[in-house]
Amino acid sequence: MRVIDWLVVAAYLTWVIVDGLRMSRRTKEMEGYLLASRSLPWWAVGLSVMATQLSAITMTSTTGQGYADGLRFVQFYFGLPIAMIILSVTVVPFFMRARVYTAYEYLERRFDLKTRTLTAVLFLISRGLSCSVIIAAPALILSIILGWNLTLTVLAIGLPTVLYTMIGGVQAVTWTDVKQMGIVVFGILAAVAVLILGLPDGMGLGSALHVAGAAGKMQALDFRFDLTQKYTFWSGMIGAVFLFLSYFGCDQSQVQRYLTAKSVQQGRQSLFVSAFVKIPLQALILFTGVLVFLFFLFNRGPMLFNSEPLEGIKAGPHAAEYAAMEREYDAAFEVRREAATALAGRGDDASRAAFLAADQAVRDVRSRASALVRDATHANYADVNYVFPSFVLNYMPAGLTGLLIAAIFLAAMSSSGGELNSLATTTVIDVYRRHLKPDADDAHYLLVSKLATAGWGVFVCIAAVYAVQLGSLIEVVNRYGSYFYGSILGVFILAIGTKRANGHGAFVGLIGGMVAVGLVAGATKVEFLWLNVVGAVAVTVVGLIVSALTRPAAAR
Amino acid sequence: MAGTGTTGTTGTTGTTGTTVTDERARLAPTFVAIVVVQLAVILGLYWVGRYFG
Repeated sequence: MRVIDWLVVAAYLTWVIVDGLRMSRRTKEMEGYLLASRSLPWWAVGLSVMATQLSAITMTSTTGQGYADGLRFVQFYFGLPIAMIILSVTVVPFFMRARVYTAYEYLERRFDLKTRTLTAVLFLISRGLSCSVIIAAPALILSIILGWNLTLTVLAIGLPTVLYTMIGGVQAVTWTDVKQMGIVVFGILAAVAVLILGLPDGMGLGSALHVAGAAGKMQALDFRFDLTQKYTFWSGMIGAVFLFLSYFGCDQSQVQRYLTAKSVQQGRQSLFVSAFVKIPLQALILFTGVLVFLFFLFNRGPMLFNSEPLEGIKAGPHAAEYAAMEREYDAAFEVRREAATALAGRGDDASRAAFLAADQAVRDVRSRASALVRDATHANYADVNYVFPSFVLNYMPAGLTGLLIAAIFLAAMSSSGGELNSLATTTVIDVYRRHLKPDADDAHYLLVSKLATAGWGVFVCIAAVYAVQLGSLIEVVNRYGSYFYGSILGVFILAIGTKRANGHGAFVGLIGGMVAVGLVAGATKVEFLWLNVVGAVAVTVVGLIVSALTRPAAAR
Repeated sequence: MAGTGTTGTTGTTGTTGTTVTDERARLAPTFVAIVVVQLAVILGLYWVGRYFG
């Protein structure tokens, strides 16, 4: 990075952290610290809801998915508007009028303590793990460009986040999220502009997109009803609805966002922001990945984008083999560039076939090179998360590189800040205050909330170091979640949707749901989005049966 | 919703005195707008796939 880029990053991050710390003046009591005294405007809450979900992973891994698979990942979000509509008339008024701190608090009122505690603990485990992934993604990027040790990089992101979240509470988190959304959208639009301007002279965007289409990158919709396919229209419209109902309706990291709104109506409006904007925004981010694919069709990028293990390969016993692959890649790249140019110009079947053959040759070389790295290092080797950062660092104009790196930094910080805040809230409200010290004063709980934020910060930083060893990061996050989300949703369906369920039914149903998810995930090839449906349905069915069997005879 | 009395079609919301029916009627145009926008985006993506694919 150039000096001006570093200055942009430093200035932006300093502003965010100082502004976050300034919020501590408004957080002198627990409700102010955890819920901003239920005083925030809908648009800020709405942007915070989006920003908590739009992490650095979205910027690095989603653009990488656009580069590798095209637009099809957008189907994942098709269920989100439907989920928002359902939530706006069910849980939003419900939780806000109950004036709870956490979603799980309500479960004790409706069922019993054991159901509340188990659900809260499941949230703490799943959200703690996913928060670590959210910190790991930008840590990977920075460890490459700075040549830093990964642990140090995780700490460089995690410590400032813990600091401003611990001191400023949810106010700092929300207003950091607002800044993040502004800078992320601006950064993505700037990248799109640079990518379009970077097309070869004389080649229009339409012609270039026909080339991307020939490579299958423009096919967003897949109508096959196949449970073993990860992203289809149906998995998005059915499986993802369950995921989003659970994520936005039962997950404290999201529930806490709209609990800070001034009124029920403002809480609803905050969810409508996502309902309107989320799919177009995700499509834009994936489209950016497709444009990066086009960019590297005409500009010679590295054979492998994750450069970390390559120095060792080039100096080791596989050096000659790797060098031969690089020469093969150079030749294949030139053939593909010419084929892509011909396809953009003529668009006939022959040039299309020639381009597809050339693209396949490039992919073959990259695939063999990745296998070589895996063999040589005896470790997982993933390339997809490095594509967009490589473009940003090497091809964006001075200043904009810094802006986008700051945006990736900030995306990680704001998402993980929101999650740390919710982890601390659940720890204090559902565990500490309920089980360990129920009669302390407000100042004590405020202090414990800050300590819990710090404690979770340490945990997620340690877990982040291990999370980077896993494959495509966004899938890791969603996979973690889908083992728990459907089951937790099932408990809330029992609580809010039926009068027949009781505490025993909900508790046994929750365990039964998780067992069902584990069995389906272990014994079949059903993709993870459908696990949310399995979990929710299993908990509901088992819960109702157990409730019927354990109901007192008089009630029956 | 069990235990709250808010989901019946004529129950009150408990804070404003408006009925649930009133509340949902007020929200209906927003819901329709969300569905229309979503359908437009999906159709747009379908067209993009057909045209450029």
